Amino acid sequence: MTVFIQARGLRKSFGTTDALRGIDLDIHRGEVIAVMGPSGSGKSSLLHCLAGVLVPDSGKVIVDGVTVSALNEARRSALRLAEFGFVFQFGQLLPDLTAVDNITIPLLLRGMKRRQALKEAHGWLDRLGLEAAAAKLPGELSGGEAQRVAIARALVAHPSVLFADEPTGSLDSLAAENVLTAMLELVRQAGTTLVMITHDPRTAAYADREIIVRDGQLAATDRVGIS
Amino acid sequence: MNPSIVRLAVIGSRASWGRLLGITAGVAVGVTLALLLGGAYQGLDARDERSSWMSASGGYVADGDTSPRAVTGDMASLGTDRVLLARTTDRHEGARIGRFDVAALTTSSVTIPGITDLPQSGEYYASPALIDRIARVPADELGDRFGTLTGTISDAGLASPDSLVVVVGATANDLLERPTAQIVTDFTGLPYRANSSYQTVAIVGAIAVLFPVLLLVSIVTGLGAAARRERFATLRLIGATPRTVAAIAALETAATSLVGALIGVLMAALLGPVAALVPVDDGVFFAADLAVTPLTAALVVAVTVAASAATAGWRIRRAGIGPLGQTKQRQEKTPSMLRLLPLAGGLGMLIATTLAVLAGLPVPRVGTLIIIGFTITTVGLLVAGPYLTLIAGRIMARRSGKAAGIIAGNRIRRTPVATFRSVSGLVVAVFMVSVFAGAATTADQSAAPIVGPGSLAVTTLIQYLEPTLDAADPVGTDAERARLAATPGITGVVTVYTLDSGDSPDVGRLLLVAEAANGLGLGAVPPAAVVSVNSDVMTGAPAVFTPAEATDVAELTPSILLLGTDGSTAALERARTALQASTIFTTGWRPAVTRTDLADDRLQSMAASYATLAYLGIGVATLIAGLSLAIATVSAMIDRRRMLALLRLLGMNLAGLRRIIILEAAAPLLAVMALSIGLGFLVADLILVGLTDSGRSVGWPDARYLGALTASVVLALAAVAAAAGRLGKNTDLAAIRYE
Ligand SMILES: Nc1ncnc2c1ncn2[C@@H]1O[C@H](COP(=O)(O)OP(=O)(O)OP(=O)(O)O)[C@@H](O)[C@H]1O
Ligand SMILES: [Mg+2]
Repeated sequence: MTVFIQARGLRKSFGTTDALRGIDLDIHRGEVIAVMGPSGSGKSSLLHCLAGVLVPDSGKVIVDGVTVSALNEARRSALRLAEFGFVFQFGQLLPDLTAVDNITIPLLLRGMKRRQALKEAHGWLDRLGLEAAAAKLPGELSGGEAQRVAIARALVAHPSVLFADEPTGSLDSLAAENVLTAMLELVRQAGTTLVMITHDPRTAAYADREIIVRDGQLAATDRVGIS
Repeated sequence: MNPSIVRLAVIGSRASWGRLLGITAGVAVGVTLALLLGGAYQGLDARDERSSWMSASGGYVADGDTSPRAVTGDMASLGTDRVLLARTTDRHEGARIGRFDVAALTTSSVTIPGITDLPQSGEYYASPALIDRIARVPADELGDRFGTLTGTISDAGLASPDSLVVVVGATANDLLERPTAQIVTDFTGLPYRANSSYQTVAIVGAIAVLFPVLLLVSIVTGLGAAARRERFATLRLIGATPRTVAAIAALETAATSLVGALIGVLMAALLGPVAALVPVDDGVFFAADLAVTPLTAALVVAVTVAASAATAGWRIRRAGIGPLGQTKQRQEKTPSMLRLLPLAGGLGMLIATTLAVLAGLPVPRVGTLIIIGFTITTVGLLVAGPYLTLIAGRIMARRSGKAAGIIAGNRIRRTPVATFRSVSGLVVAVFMVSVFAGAATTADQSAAPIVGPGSLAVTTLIQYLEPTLDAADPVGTDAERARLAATPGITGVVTVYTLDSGDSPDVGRLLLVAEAANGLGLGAVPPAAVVSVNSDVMTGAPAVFTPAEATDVAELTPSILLLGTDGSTAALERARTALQASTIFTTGWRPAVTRTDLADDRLQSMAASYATLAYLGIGVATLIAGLSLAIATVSAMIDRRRMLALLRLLGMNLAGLRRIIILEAAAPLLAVMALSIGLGFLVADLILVGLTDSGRSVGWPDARYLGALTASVVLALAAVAAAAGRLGKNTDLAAIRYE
């Protein structure tokens, strides 16, 4: 397997808080990684640095041979558009757009014709058993439905990497199970790399690899080269 | 209420300090403008009151009156309770001078505001601005027209510090010659403002300017609503009742707007003297005219505080903030088509009134009906706005193929009321400007004097003579005319005659000696002793000379004296002065005029004289509306920064985000603006036809209108662009947490 994302010496502080204190990490193409660790340990910060949302204070992130931290904001935008998808805990759907319109946004941003984008979006809704929710606004969806729509939106444009930050964190266990299986199935089918933060060991069990963040550092077993 | 809860709710963070500051500043600007506007209204009233004496009138002198109180050339016949008055409008370097020739006994009990004693023959009183003017130019250009200065007309008798007014003493004999002389017992006249047309304009203006002010206040008091709702939700979570939360909101807004209103009062007091320098209707204001009375100030402050507090409390209660805050977005009620009703009603009323007037039906109180119709139409436009915005949003959401268009379109259709509110100020301003520009096209038509070959030079003075009066010699003696001709700068003196009756082809034409006609340089003159020319030459039509039937001007009536000048201002003013100092002037209806002056007279219609005021009002309204739009856009952007940042996360670039913000403002603006322009002209047409009861209709608007329109669009775009320019900072991905 080839290394797709390479992080070296990532450091990031917010004022006096050191969120990341030197992280080295290799992620391979098609790998499913679960990121675990106590609250406030720096999991989200790590994810954001890997995805080019946050610029690390020092160290670098190389995605497919390109040094992300050296790119300007516009280029990082373009990289996110072309390669990454995101799912968060909640509140990520555009509230004024129907479920199906929400899903079309990444496609439209990549220049697809609207008619075609709608067709694709309906296809994804079908696959996730959400056809009935197509015309609903996010405010009218249940939490589980909203997360599945978010996953459809994250995957609709076939990103290389899906970053998920506690995607089931706001759901009850049954809904969480549903969302998670749906997401994993889609990711495995498409060979998408998944970097997923979770607090739930059962969720982590689905992953190819678990890494643990403590005080802004990876736990010993997860250091590059050791695994 | 627990004070620590209030503190927690109000002084949350630096952002909430910014919000309080924004509200304070917005309210301050609003109150300042409202007070200045009120001051201007009151100031116009005051100046009108002071100058109302100028419209005093009385009976005309009856020819052959033999009653004991008949006014004769003998001053004593006036008694102490009557004076003879001849009112004329004189001119100097393009400015109009109100001239009042008065014949009164020294013992007269009649008084004119602003002067203590009425002037006697040879004396005059003048306003300070006129005295300055007289001192500035040589006496033979202005001062010699009046005699000896004996006093100044004080402010109590003047509309404005700029007013050019002169009260000139005369003998009864002098004035009896004048066809316009009146017997006046009392210098009180009807104030101009009682005029219902004026009231129409004033009410329309007040709506036009007050609306955006209220809008501004309403928008700033809603600043940071999203952040505030979150804080209130926290309060609810820890046990505050909805009532407590509403009360906190009201209290907070009351305190902030009180500070804002007090600052506003202070600013209005400081800016009053500056605002007084804006010339309206021929002159600047006395600073005292615009001074705000403590009562008005107290009233405005009280109303502002009470109204904004009440709305704030009501908004929070209506928002129905639960302990879980706004996890589910509150849906705006979709505006229904019923919202078009008031607009249709207002238009219907205007159309019905106009049609009734045109059909010759007796319509009582046309002016009032039109004001009501107009007001309903304006309000109707505001009520219909959200519905039209909804339609525009729907179309955009469906038709657009781009992410930005779809996002903006959907945002608009989900929140049409809020979206329209941010542009409604500009929509109303544009509606008003269109109505006004439409109405003004009538006033402006043929305002400029025609110039061209064959047209009478605009530098030629035209002195109309009074042929029906049997003055000894209306044209003046040869010596008089020689004196005029010898005045430096005067290039020729020509008498124009008319034939009053008979069936000669000369009737209705102007006749003059061929040699004199040649001197005018208006084109070919046929070889004849006396020639005739079309009478509209005086209004600029090209001259066409034909041989006259008459052969001797001695048999004709002298009607007009033409004084050619070399075109310099000094020569023109010297010519006017020379004419007024001669006996010729006393037989005329009014002082000599040029064609430029005549055109200027036509422009003195009400619409034109209040044009500055109207354009000023609309300018202020547009500015505030633009400001409101900018604030609303920025505040909406800040409230939605999480959403916008999310789009950046999805890979939308800043240009795309900017497009969303601009589309969200531009779509409703363009949709409703197009409507307000169309409606504006329709309404202008209806008002004109209704009020003037004639076939007058609106013409093509002039450059000023296009200028004003362009300015408001540019302003709107600038406002939105300025807001959009802050997008980068506000949606900085690093500053927003995604969980
Ligand atoms: N924008 C920020 N400003 C200030 N401090 C921040 C910011 N983002 C993160 N931090 C701090 O950095 C540290 C790591 O935060 P991070 O969100 O990465 O933790 P986490 O592991 O995701 O926690 P959780 O499991 O609770 O989501 C925390 O102490 C947090 O307070
Ligand atoms: Mg986290």
